Amino acid sequence: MYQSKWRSITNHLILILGSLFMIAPVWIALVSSTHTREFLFQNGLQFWFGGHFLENYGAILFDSSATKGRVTALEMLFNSMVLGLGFAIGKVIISMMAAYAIVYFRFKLAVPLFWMIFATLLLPLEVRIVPSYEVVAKLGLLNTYTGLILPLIASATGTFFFRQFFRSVPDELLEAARLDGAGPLRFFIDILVPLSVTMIAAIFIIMFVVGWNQYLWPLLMTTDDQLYTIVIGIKQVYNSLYEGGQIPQFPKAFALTIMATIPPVLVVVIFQRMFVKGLVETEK
Amino acid sequence: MATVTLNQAEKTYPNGFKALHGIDLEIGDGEFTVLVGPSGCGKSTLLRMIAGLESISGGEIKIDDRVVNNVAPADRDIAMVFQNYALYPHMTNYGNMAYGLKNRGYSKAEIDTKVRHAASILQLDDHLDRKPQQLSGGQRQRVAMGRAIVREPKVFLFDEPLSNLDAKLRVDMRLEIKNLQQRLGITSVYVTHDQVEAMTLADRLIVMNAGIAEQIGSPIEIYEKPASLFVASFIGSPSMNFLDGKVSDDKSHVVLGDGSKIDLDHKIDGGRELVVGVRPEHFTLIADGSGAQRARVRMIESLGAETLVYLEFGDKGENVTLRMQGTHQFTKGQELALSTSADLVHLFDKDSGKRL
Repeated sequence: MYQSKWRSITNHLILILGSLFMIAPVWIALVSSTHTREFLFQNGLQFWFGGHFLENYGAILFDSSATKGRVTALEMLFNSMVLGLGFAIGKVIISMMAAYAIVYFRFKLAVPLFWMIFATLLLPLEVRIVPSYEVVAKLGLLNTYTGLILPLIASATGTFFFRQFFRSVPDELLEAARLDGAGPLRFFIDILVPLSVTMIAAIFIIMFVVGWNQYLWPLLMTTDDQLYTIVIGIKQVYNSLYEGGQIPQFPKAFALTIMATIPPVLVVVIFQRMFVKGLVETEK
Repeated sequence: MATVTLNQAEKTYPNGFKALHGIDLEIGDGEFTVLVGPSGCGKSTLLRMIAGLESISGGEIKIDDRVVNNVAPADRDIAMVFQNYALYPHMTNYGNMAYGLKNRGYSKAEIDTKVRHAASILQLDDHLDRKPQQLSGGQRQRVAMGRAIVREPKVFLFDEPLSNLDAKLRVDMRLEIKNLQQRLGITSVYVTHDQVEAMTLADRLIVMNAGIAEQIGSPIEIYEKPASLFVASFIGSPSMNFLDGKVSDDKSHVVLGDGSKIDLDHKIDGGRELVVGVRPEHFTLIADGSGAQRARVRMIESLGAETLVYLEFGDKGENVTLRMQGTHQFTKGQELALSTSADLVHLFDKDSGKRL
């Protein structure tokens, strides 16, 4: 008893220290973003809140001069949201349909086609970024949301996960549905999609975060400030920290960073619940 | 209300494996037909061909007078109950039963009437709003049957519906299925590997082996006059005893391995070797006498209502099982004298296995 008590205290101590270590940078960024730039410049990073929360965040959100561009953080958040959602929803839809075709329809070359899709995993976006840029430019889609989202929408990872999941769905369900008069489309919408909810939630979370964090692609595709995503915005702000002989805008840079992390965190928190609920409720 | 006719129905898989070698079968209106056989005999394939889930490689299948070879499963007017229930897990039980009707364009009111009617037949009224995984195995199977009933199909197909249930529930559900089928009078085809299920449910039994219908008949016919060694060994539990024998020169009896004799009423050529089949329940224990078969006790199983005695027979030590009413005590190695009557003995050709 005595021993296990000490053990549990040490265990918790290690865990608490680990958590503090992980959370410290976020905390410092958060509290430092609530001071004035002069204060921060004189006193270094802070460990407790200052009194300028509303002022700093308000400036970032609504005043484009604070973000060193012609666009406010609110607009950049909106752009990032469009990219993240379009990216995630598009990937879920496309990869689900691709997996459905591969698993449930017998057509020539289904297997080689699947492996071809799978092999594209070996080619990261950066490898094909120049030709992809060419294509988007020639289609006249530069500086559009379509151009930003469409070329990224195919997903080998998603297709693979959905394929594995569909293969684990018992054949009898398909047969029962056929006897119940459900055609391929009906079966997909009425049976397969509801059964895949947990899978959809999982892939949606992953893809949203990946889309949100895209940097290189939006940087290339957009020359217009109005289409900047928040990740580009952060980079811009940090770039310009030391320009012009002024006192650096550290609090606002921190504020922008904090805001950029909120939506992905929310998505994970919200869908995590659905994910777990789905896991508990559905049984194949 | 329908008949099902199979005309030389064949199934060859793309890899060249021939699962069914031409099955001829006529299932009458309202008849409960059971396909029974060991695994891999083609019984499920045959059922799935009737359902339309497997293509037909040769011959034809008719439901009523319509050839359905190339008709989609949904348009054959059949309903199927699967071994693992195959209920849609994300729908309520009501939704499960209503789904087929919805796809067929019935109105909401019609669907509701039909589902509630089926639910009351199956005593599922209280469970309609729940999901399948909140029910027990037996209840789930009832929902699966409900899904079949609401459609009022011409033919019911059952693919080993009771094999996932525990022993007691299986017996209850068996009775329930039989009752239901008699009440609704719907032509049914039922696949099982369990011979007790087969015997109790069937109006007509089809014993299948290696893609062939070995024998088709009423359960009692098949029990009393099995057409081949395979049928004789498959139907009946414990399985029939088989002993090698030779017909005496004067054709009056057959001589078994221990020299004992069984009288013959057949006219079989003298000197012919054959297999003598006797069911465990058709041996009687007698006081030592002439002509009796003698065997040594090897093992005993007491089941309460009956006792199974496993014996060693003759010089070759052929296995013989004896089934006796009540409880009995024997010691291992004890010698028993058995007798059977000539009209309960089955004779089979040694090479072809056919009944003589």
